[in-house]
Amino acid sequence: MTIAAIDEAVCNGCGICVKHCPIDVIRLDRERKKAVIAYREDCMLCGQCLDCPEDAVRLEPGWGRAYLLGWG
Amino acid sequence: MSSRPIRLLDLETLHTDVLVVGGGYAGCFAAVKAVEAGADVVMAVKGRAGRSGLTPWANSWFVFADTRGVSREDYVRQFVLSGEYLANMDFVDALIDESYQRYLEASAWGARTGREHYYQPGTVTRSIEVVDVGDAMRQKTVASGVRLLERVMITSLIRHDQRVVGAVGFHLESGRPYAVLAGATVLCSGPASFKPLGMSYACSSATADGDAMAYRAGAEISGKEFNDGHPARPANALAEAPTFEVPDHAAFVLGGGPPSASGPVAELDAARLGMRTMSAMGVHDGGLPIDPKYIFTPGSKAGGRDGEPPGPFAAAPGYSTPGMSNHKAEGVFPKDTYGASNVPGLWAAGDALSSMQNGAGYAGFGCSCAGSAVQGARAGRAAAEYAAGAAAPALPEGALREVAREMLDPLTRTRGYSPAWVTRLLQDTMFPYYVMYVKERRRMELALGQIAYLQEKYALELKAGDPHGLRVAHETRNMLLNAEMKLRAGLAREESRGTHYREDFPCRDDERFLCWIALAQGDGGMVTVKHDIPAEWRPDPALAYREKYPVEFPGEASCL
Ligand SMILES: Cc1cc2nc3c(=O)[nH]c(=O)nc-3n(C[C@H](O)[C@H](O)[C@H](O)COP(=O)(O)OP(=O)(O)OC[C@H]3O[C@@H](n4cnc5c(N)ncnc54)[C@H](O)[C@@H]3O)c2cc1C
Ligand code: SF4
Ligand code: SF4
Repeated sequence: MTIAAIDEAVCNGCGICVKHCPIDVIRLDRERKKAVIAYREDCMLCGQCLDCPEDAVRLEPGWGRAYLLGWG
Repeated sequence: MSSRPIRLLDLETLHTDVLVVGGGYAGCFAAVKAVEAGADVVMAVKGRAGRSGLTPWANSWFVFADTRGVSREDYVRQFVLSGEYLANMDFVDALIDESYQRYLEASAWGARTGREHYYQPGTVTRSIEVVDVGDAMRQKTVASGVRLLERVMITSLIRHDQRVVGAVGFHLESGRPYAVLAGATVLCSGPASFKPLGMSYACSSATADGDAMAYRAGAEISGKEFNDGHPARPANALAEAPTFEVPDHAAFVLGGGPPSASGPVAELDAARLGMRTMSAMGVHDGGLPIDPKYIFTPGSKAGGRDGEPPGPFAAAPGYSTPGMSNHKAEGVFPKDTYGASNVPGLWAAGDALSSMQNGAGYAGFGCSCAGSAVQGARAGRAAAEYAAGAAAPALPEGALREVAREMLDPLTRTRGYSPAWVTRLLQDTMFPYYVMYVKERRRMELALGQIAYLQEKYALELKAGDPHGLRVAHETRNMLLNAEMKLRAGLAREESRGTHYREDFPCRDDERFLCWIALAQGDGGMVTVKHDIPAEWRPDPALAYREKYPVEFPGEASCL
């Protein structure tokens, strides 16, 4: 599981999610003024990007890396 | 990753009195106190100050004030017992004496207070709930005039004339390399983990960077054999279709939400917190596999408060933070109570310092963030004082460019290995419960052989396609070093104590191991160094074993 989607229709390009992500998963497309998920595989599901003022960020199961062998 | 050639930007060099690496509780207090002591300060943070590392998730703050009759002796006894005699009592005193003052300062800076008076089950120590501390500390740091380099990852310390004179790093987005030349450097870079990612505890931005840098610069690192005890849901690997439920002792349920969540914990949006816990662990269906005979709840009443149920302490296993040591155990080995390392010019504080404030087990919630604040303030002042008397570091520009070039190497390689792949191999070596949590000599040696191979073969041949990949490459290299440290320290401690459990040595061995085990660079590689616990902090040898150690390890009867 990781961050799943950023709704571009409502994203206002404020960049809060980019600043708040401790793992550098999200980047701002400066030309289009939209946040984009750049490194989904590194997301740790901490939820700090949910501080989005437009409620554009969605986290959900189903994405991301496969099971770690060691953890079954 | 893109295959476009990377345009390397020019090195930007900054000069300052004190460089603070990291912007959590420790870093913000270090920076603010260094400014108050008259220093010019630069703070470099891998993410955003107050929003990265472990800091955004802590909200219970230890205090020794208005304790409703609980004495200082009771508090001290708690640390002695849960720390199983490895607690550094000087750092315990600092926490007891200074944490309330730091709380008042954080409040004055804008942190809000939730529940004011509560005790964690099984402990005697009082906590206060703090909310929105991260953003408040960042604001105070900026207002104090600290120059902030955010989203800048520091990768190595600069050594010159036998002392540390600053560090180099790069910006995560532009890739711009930075050198910060400083009279004194304070590592507040947090603890270690092997990036469990969404597994439950948000610790994956902590990758032992500080320990790795300090070790390479000649510092001693200790506390690596212990384990953080935050539980995920242990389940039997063999169980068929186990059901998933949110455990009421899960880290998130206890720890509360990020500072952005409104109001004290009781009023937090439970669904949102629950969602994170559920989805973080639900992917495994069965949770983390472990042989059920190792799920033990010590249930000791020692140190417990009347009328409150005893909680699991000291030996409770943790699975949500693989790679992380018991809070306040791992990090730079201190030479004094201000966090000075054995290398002149280098200090550490908080989760980057092996203060051993909590010894081999965790003394109670709130000790960790309050401890980081207390230690950060102490190190910040000491570093400022040192920098005021130290000659400004002068280094030939060419030498700096050389360190920066090395840092950028993974970007310029035409061929190399994927850091994500190497990290996966590392995780698969270290994560199984029978390597890090239930330890045994042969299994650790096998893991060490694998980690050694990964280090020799891949660590210096990692390739990055962009600055984000460069970060991941450095983190991978640092985590490999941390894995080696954990295994070597685990092998060296041939006993069980607190959160370190050896199946082949299931008893405490006071004769040989009332010591801290440090790791340092020797001629032929990593060596271990024992530092004895001062006589006055050792248990009375006349006491019976069970009186000294109320918590029982599995298999203990065989060696008693
Ligand atoms: C879910 C959770 C709940 C918790 N709850 C509590 C609690 O209720 N009470 C309590 O006392 N403790 C709690 N803790 C522990 C507590 O959060 C930590 O002990 C404390 O925040 C550590 O602070 P620190 O400043 O020492 O390190 P951190 O907060 O980890 O800060 C490290 C800083 O260094 C930066 N950094 C790291 N590497 C580099 C690098 N290479 N270059 C530049 N910067 C770097 C990071 O970005 C970060 O800013 C909790 C932890 C978690 C994860
Ligand atoms: S915080 Fe929300 S609105 Fe702002 S950039 Fe991110 S997704 Fe867009
Ligand atoms: S959940 Fe955390 S790690 Fe993942 S994108 Fe959001 S802020 Fe980043």
